[in-house]
Amino acid sequence: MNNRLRVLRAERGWSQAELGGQLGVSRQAVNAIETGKYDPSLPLAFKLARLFGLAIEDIFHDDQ
Amino acid sequence: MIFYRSLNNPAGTRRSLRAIRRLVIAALVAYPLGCLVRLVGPDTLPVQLIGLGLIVTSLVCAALLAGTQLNRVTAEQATMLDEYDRSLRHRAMATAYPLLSGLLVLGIMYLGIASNLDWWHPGNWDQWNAVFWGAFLTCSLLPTAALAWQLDPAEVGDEGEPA
Repeated sequence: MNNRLRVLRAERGWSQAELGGQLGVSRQAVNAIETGKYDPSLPLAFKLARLFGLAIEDIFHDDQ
Repeated sequence: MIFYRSLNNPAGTRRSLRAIRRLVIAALVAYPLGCLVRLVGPDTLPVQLIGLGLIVTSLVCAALLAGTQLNRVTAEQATMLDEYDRSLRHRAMATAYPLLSGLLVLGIMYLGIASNLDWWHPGNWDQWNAVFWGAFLTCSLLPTAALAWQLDPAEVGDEGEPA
């Protein structure tokens, strides 16, 4: 699954650690999501969407 | 699986994957090698000291691993981990369990054959004690070892932003 997390984070000037702190996950978790190595759970995806004020599908999109 | 949680650094010490892989290999190879040297080598002080030195080296490497971030993933209480760490732990266990099962089966097969063919097998308290601690070390380190070889540096952020 692809996502726009790196772009959205950069627009707000947050580091991976700062974003992780707001989400309650580690910097490594944010890094893994951004690089597409890990797909977050639905609760974490909702948390991300709320944080950026977007819908989940505006952040994550399927490859197909 | 033992994680040493420091009060100053509860998230664990950050070490590169390369360093962790080297520590794992040193810990898992030096211990049996040290035991073999002490068992098979001549009963002289220098040889016994070399064997002991290898065993101590193995334990020092295991101690250095115990407080690392990667070992935290496999050994910390699950409630202290986030969902990504728990997914990594699942991957580590899924690899380490078959490995450990294979080693256990091979060990039992060897003991069965060795007792029939009069090969060496543990015969006294000291030897069984060494086997026990070797098994303990292997059980403790296999999940971390599995994870160290499954991950690539980018995945754990070794090549990403600094911590």
